[in-house]
Amino acid sequence: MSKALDRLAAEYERRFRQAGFRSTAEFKAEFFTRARQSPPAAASISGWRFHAWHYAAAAALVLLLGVGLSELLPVRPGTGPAKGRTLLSEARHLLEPDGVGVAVINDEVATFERNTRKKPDSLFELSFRLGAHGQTVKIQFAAASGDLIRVDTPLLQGEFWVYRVEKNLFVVDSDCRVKNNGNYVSVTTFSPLPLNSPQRDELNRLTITSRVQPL
Amino acid sequence: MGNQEENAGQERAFSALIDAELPRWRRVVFRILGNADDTDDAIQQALLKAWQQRDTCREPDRLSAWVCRIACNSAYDRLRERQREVRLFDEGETVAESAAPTADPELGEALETALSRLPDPLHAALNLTVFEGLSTMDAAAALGCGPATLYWRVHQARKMLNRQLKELTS
Repeated sequence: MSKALDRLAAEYERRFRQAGFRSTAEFKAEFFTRARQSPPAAASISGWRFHAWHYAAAAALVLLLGVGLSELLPVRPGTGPAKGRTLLSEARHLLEPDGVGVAVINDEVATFERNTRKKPDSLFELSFRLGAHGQTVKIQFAAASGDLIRVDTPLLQGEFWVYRVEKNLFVVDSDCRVKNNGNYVSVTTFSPLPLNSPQRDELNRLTITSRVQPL
Repeated sequence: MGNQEENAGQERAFSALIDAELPRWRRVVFRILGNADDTDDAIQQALLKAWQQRDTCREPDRLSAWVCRIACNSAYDRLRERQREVRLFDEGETVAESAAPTADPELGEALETALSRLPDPLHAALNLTVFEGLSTMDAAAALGCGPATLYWRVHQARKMLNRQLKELTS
């Protein structure tokens, strides 16, 4: 495989040299002509700057969610967890030596330091969606009671603490920021989560679906 | 500083950035699109986006990685558009066949076909690491993901390539 990839890299290089690119000067001339005709964009809501009103909106959500989520509804089927679970399973096999945890956030793998030395015995899945058409951000991780999962990825940053309060009941305590359409939304929840009983929490425009299953 | 001077300074900065990074951007995008005109169009678009947001850019050090990411995304969009057009005109042609650059049987036609079937994030990970030789950190920055994710994507891409090569050559 490596040899074949090396040969292909050489072939790409040959094609690249023969592709007939314009000179850098010509490229720049075209770019600056177009750039001068193009006014600066209005302050971006999705690129480089995080605006104060985002913090205000996030703070409002924190206040709304911080009191706890009481309207628990059954989760809708068809969220497609199988692919993510396979990814998580393979990522754990590949990346999870003793003391290191693995989470999958959409199709991103993130590692975290496990504060307990217990063998993970439960699979947690939490997904967040703002509005009917907002992007869904889903985190999946394997953990044991008492684990603190700290992640820092482009889509999701923050902490999740899981604790088994009864044989079939966990508490999931989350304090995180979720990216949604270029903005970050802060989410703080403290949710009881029965084993094998998916939950859907809706408050304001945020929908959180969560489930915990034995590994 | 007046607006004119400020603009001139920004133009000088972009000019220097293009001088330094254009060859790399071109190599990376060319491996996706396979021709010079489309490659330059995708890069021009990405640069234009960066130019339009230059006043709000807080991380000029990461501008090159950001332009590379936008150009790659634009390239994958163009590739999908091209594939849709091909499907419209020729229902019999497969996506992989239409996506593959000009094939050279002696230099791994099967490998190119397998590469063209990879999901975009996996293809991009191989493009930047295996073919372009970027470090894990630089490639991860250009793709907007963490190093662990990049490592995982390369691993997954190689696994998928191996599997597809077996199928294609059996």
